[in-house]
Amino acid sequence: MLRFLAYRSLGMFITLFVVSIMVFAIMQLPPGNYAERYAFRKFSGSSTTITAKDIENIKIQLGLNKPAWKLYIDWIWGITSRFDFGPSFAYETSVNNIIRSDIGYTLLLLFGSLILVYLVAVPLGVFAAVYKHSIWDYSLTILGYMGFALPPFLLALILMYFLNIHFDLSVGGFLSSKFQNAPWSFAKIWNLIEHLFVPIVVLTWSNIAFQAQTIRATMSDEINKPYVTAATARGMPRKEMLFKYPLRVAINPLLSTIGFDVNRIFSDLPIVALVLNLPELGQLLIKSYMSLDMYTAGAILLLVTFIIVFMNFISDILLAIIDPRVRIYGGNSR
Amino acid sequence: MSSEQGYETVLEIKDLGISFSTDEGDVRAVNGVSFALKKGITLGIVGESGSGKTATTQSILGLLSENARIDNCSKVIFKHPQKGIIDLIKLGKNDTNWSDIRGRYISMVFQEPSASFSPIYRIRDYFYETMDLHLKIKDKNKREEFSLEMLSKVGIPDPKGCFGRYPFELSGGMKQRVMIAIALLTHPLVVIADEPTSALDVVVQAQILLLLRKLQQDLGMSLIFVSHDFGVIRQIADEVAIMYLGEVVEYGSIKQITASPFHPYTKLLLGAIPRFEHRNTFLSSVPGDIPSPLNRPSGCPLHTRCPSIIKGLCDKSSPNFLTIKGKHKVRCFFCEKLMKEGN
Ligand SMILES: Nc1ncnc2c1ncn2[C@@H]1O[C@H](COP(=O)(O)OP(=O)(O)O)[C@@H](O)[C@H]1O
Ligand code: SF4
Ligand SMILES: [Mg+2]
Repeated sequence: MLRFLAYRSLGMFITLFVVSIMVFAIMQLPPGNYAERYAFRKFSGSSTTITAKDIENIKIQLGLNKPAWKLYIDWIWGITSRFDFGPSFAYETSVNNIIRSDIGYTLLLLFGSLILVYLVAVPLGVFAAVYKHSIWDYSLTILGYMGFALPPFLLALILMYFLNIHFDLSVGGFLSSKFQNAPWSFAKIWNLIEHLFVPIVVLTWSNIAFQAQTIRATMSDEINKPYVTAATARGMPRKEMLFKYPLRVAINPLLSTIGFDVNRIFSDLPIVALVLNLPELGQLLIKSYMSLDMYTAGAILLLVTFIIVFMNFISDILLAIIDPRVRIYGGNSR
Repeated sequence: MSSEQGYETVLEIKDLGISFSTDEGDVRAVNGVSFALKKGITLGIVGESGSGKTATTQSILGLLSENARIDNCSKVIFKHPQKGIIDLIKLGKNDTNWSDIRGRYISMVFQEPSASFSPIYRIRDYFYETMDLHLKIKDKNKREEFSLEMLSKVGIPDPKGCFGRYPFELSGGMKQRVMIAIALLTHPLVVIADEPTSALDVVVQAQILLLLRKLQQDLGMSLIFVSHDFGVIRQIADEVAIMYLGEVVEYGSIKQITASPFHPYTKLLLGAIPRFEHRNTFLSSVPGDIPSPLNRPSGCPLHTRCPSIIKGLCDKSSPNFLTIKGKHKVRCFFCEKLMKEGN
C-alpha cells in the first residue's frame, strides 16, 4: 500500500508540474500583454504618443520584462512557497484577494454536488437492482430519461420559478442581502444552504441519473455472480450479504469516475452560475483572460486543473483501499 | 423418518418440480424428482449438462434465481437437530430460519472456485465470517487455531500463509480446498458439492475427490455429489441417481448401477466413460442432442434418442418407477417388458 501511495503521489506531482507549464503557456497565448493594454487605456484620448520606451517602462513596473522561463519560475515559486498567485493587473490588487471568496463558493458547490450525487445515486441504484420492477426501478428509469433530456439551465429556471411561486423564496446569489456582510451565524449558514439547494440540485441532476444507472447495472450483474450465491449458502443474512459482497464490487466504477464527475460539474457550473447569478470562478476566468490579466486567469486555470488531478488521485486511493487487486497489482491486472 | 438398512434419512426430496419462466417461455428444469439422503452416505447425481442437477441441489437451500417456480406439491424435508422436521421449500428466500441451516447444517461447495470467492476479502475473512455466523468462537487465538487446523486437514501445505492471502493469489485447486475447508468448518450434516472438480485439471480433480471421500467418511456426514461425468461419480458415490431432462431415470447403489445398468440412458452414459484400454476411441458419447427443455418430449423424455424405444408407447405415456431389487429402481417401459418376460 505504501509503495502504491508513493507511486501514485509521484505520478500526481509530475502531472501537476506538466499542467502548470501548460497553464503558463496558455496564459501567454493571447496576442499582446497587459503592459500594452495598460498603456493604451492610460493614454488613449490624451493625444500623447506612446513610445516603445513607455511600454518598456510599464513592463518593468509590472515585472513583465523578464524572459518567460524566469516569469514561470517566479510564479510557481510564489505559489508553492507563499501560496501567492501574483498580482492582478486589472483589479490592481493581489490575485489571492480576488479569488478567495469565489474559490470557497466554487469548492462548496463542487463538494456539495459530489456528496449529494453519491448519497442519492448509490441507494437508488442498489434498490433498483435488488427490487427489479419495483417503484425504485421505475422512478430510476424516469429519472434517467429526465436527467439526460433536461439541460441544466432549463432545470435551474424551472426550480427558481417553482420556489419563487410556491415558497416565496428568492434564490439567486449565495446569500440574501441582509446576510451579505453579517458575521457567520446559524441563520447565515441556513441562508447559505437555502441558496445552495437549487444550484446543487441542478449540478447533480444528470450525474445522479447517470451514476444511479451505473450502480443499477453493475449491481444487477454482481448479484447474479456465483460468489453471491456462495455467500448466501454460507448463511449470510440477505441485507448484510448485499453490503458485504456485491455492493463492494459494484461501487468500483463509481469511485473510478470521480474525476469524470468533477469535470462534468465544472463544465456545467458556468452556465448554472450565469442563470442563478452566482459569483463563480468560470466567469472570472473568461473576463480576466479577455483583459489579459494573466495571473488571475492562470490562478483559476491552475486551481481548477489541480482539483481535477487531485480528485483523480483520491479516486485511485479509494479504489486501492476498496479493491486489493488494485493495491497488489497496481491496477494493471484484473 | 423412513429408515432402510439401519440408515437414518437426513434429507428427503419429494416430488420436486421446478420451472423457470424465461422470455421464450417456461423451462421445465426438474420434473418430479424424489430421493432420500441417508446419514453418512454419498449420493451421486449424474446426467448431461442441462438435466436439472444444479436446479435440484440449489432448491434445497433456497438458492434458485428469482424466475424459478417450484411446484406446490414439492417438499424438501430436513430433520433439524434442534427444531425437528422442516420443509425447506416452504421457507421464504430470506426466512430467518435459514440462518442455522445454510452453512451450518447444510453446506455447499460450488463448481467454479474462482468465481465463488469475492476478490475483496482474505481467506481468513471467510473463516471468521462462518465462525461469527455459526460457531460463536470469540477467542482470537482459538479462531485462528481452529481455522489453520481445518486448512491443513484439506491438504493446504502452508496454512498460515494461505490464511492471509487473497483468493486470487491461490490456484484453482487450492481455492477449492479452501472452499471445502470452510464448508466443513461447522461439521455440517449434509454437504452438497455441485461439480466441485469440473473446473479443475485431471490430476487436481483426482486429489480433490480423494479428499472429499476421506473427509466425508471421517466426519460421518452425508454428501450429495453432482457431476456430468460418470467416471467421477463412480470414484466417490455410494448411491447414484441418474438424471435425464429433469427426471431421475434410474437409482441404485453404485454396485448395482455399474454391474447391471437397466435404463437405456444409463447404458449409454456408462459407455461414455473414457476407458484406459479404449483411449483412442475416446468417449463414445451419447448420440443425439438433449432436447430443449422449452418443449419437452411427450411420454418418456428419452424417446427421441432411445435405441430401445417401443413405438406407440414410449412417446405417448410416461413410465413409472419399478423396483428391481432393494433400492435399485428404474423408469422405463422396455425394462418393464424385460422383467415381465424374465419372470
Ligand atoms: N435461471 C434460469 N433461468 C432459466 N432457465 C434456467 C435457469 N437455470 C437453469 N435453467 C435451465 O434449466 C435446465 C436445467 O439446468 P441446470 O439445473 O443448471 O442443469 P445441470 O446442472 O444439470 O447442467 C437447463 O435447461 C437450463 O437452461
Ligand atoms: S421408456 Fe421407452 S423411450 Fe424411455 S428409455 Fe425406456 S425404452 Fe427408451
Ligand atoms: Mg450444473
